[in-house]
Amino acid sequence: MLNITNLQAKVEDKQILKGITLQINPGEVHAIMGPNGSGKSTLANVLAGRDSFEVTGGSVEYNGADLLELDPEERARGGIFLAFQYPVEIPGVNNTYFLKAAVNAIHKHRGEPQLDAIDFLKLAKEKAKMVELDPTLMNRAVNEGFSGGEKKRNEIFQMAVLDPKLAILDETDSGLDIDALRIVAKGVNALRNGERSFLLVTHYQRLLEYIIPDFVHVLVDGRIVKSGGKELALELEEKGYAWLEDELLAGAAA
Amino acid sequence: MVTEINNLQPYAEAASASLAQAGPDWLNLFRKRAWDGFAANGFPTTRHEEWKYTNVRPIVEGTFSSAISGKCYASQVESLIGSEGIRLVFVNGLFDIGASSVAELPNGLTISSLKDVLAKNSNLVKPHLANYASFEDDMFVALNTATFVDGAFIHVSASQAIETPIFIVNITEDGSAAQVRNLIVLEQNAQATVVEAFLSDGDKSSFTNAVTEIVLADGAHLNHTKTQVEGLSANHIAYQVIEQAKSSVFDSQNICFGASLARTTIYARLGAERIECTVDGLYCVNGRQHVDNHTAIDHAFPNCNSFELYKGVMDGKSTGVFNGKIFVRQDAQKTDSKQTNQNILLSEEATINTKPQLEIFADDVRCTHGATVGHLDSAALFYLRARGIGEAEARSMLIHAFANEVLERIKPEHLRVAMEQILNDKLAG
Repeated sequence: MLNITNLQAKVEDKQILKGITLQINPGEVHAIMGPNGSGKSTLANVLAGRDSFEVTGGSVEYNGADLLELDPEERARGGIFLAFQYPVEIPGVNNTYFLKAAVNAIHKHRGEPQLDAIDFLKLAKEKAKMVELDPTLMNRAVNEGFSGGEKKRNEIFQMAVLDPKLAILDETDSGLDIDALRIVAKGVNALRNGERSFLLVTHYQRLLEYIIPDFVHVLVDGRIVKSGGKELALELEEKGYAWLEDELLAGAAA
Repeated sequence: MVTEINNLQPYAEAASASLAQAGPDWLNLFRKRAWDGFAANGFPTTRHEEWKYTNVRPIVEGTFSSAISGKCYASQVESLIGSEGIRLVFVNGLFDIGASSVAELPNGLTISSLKDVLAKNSNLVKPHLANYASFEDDMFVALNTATFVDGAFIHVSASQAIETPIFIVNITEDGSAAQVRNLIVLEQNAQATVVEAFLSDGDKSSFTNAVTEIVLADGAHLNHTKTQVEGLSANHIAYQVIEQAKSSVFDSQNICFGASLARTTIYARLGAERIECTVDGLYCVNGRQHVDNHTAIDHAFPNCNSFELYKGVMDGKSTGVFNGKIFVRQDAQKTDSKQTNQNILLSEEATINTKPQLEIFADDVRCTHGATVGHLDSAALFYLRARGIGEAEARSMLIHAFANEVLERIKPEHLRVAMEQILNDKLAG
């Protein structure tokens, strides 16, 4: 489904991604872990099409298409969803209006019928319940005045409504207390099926206690330095990232 | 200053001469003084501080007539304001009774053509007409005072609340000059909603010169909306003065989308205690449009509040001016005043000159002001696009969200929706 080959990217003059290679198949859940500044969020944003990052090398193939050639909206319509680390507040744009426009843009692309207000509200109500999102937030402006937890839940809610093929969660666990984390994880788990793939970007192992990944990759200094199964996350929890960085230095010295 | 000889001048001279003796004595006197001032000073140039960024040459050098085509504008009027409400329609500054709807007025409401009142019962307007709009300082006001023929007179008696909105629709035709003169008087504790709408017809250059005097007695409450959606070859100059008495409320929006050259001056005089004055505005221009808003809110007494939010969306090679003055005189203690001017530039070539000016002579006041000029929020734009919304739609959503803070305050619903639609069409190019 997603083939990332030797992906390199920079922001301003700083090289952040120095050659990422990763393959994600339908239905798989991959976790990307790594210390601060390793490039995890950059990877998530580059995949979603944010133009403040410049891709300087490598390729990304998504369902047979050259992903890097597509605008952000084309990626979203093609089934990629990014749950933002910092969801943006957009005063004056109503949550319901915004999400209905998004659903219908995606439906149009898929050749599916447009949802009218009643159908949309039915769908939204059902999904809001799943992530325990206060339905009155739907009538407010996008993320405006939402608490940190509400913003993250709103991201998962949007994901549930938009029904993506590949969901990228950028540090969705950061800033969440344990109850909020459980709710978010429950939402994600409910969306797991044999088809939908996930890329979880996280700093902490904690999230992976609730969302069990199939694969764990460790990103250090713009490269994947280790990949493994879910047990790798536990090893990282125990030892921290330092031993990998040391190993990396030792390898470079040898 | 030297009076320039131009095409408008002979027309104005003829108009002034024919009107000089036509009205009641008190008005004739005003007209003479106004004309003498205009004849001596002529139109302002960019050397004049108040006109530094607005060059009125297209008006000075334009050729205008005052003829009326007799065309019917019912559909344009209806699409803007709908079919409800009380309406007065003026074409080139002259009352079009056929297009107007002033029958069966609610109790306490007097509506009339100014020409009619001046001919039949000029004492009704004598205490107010030309008393507030200063023709000594502003030569467009002087020109208007000397040469206006007609206009709208709206009077609400004490303690009467008029629920139905009152529309004054002004249409300036192709190649015409219109001197629009309106007088709105709300007596003690009266309430009303008044809309002044400005349209133009045709592609040839036109010139609208409007002066509106608004008088609010103790406790009166006026919702006032000005919408200017003239064509792209129109020149629009407007002067609005609000004279507020104790505990009165003036709540207003000034929406400028049209005209090639548009200048609106608003002067609110808070002449007693416990007054509330809200002057909000929205301008959205593109191409080579020029839009200029000059506002002044004059706090002379204690315990008054004024709020001002002006928002601008500038595209193409458009140019804009915002100049907002707040005066807080020595006696105006406990003044609460907030002024904000926010601008979004959608192109690299659009420019805005924004100048908030606070002049505070009292010491116990709360006054804030701020001006911003920026582009659309790129993080918000990416967020919307990352959800599948196309770039053009995402931009339009953000601009609407920005503009709606002012548009949503327009009371008559049909007008509000029409203004949103005009904004839409404008953004679509």
